[in-house]
Amino acid sequence: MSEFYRPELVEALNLLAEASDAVAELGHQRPVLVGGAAAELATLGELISGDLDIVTPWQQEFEDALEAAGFVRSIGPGSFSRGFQHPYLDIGVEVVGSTLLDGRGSYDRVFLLRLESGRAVSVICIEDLIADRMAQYNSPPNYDLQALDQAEKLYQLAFDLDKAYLDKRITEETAGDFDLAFLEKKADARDND
Amino acid sequence: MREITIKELAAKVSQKKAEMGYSGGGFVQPNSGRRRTESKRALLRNIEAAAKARGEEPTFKANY
Repeated sequence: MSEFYRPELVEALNLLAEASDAVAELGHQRPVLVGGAAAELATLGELISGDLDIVTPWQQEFEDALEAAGFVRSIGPGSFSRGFQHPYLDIGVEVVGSTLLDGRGSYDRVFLLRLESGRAVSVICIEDLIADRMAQYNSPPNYDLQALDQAEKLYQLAFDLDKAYLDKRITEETAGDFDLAFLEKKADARDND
Repeated sequence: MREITIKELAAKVSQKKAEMGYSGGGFVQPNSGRRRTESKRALLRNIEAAAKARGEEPTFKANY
């Protein structure tokens, strides 16, 4: 069990890895972890996510494997969810798309996170994760300042960044409204607060 | 495909955190929750309800 991340997350990642292995054994690409849980990993648990957002075109196969791993369909009074939840881990799983960031994210840059159990999960690259937060920020007229703050912190905590790729992705995700220079300026300004 | 262990990831982020001077917690603003889908809101509500039914608080705090 990792001492750096909350045990519930690590346990859920192990179950996700188990379901991912089942999908891979069918000859399909491994599902990819995106969103808040990827940000939780990248911030060492400063952001805490209630669920694991997954991208896979093999939704049925993945959800079957998820149930075999111990997750159950999420059912509540008067509310409909497409997601699954674990009986005691307080973590859900939801397939949020069939392609990475609607086809704009890079599968070549997805990385394999090896858990202490030996199992592994595929995770979106930090550049795409930051660019996604910038897209969330860029929602005028009410710019999402929390999303910008998260993009700044993810940028500050990132290592082995491909800045050229990040710049391209921020520009793409914000339809040219923002770029890496903007994010760097914001991040630097906070450094000097 | 690039590969990293969870231990290596934690060590590298921890080092960056120290370099940036982030010693404690609470330095990242949580999600506003306003972009969540209805499905996601329902999922988080159901998880919270299940935790409370067991007499526990969920391990996450979410706006939904």
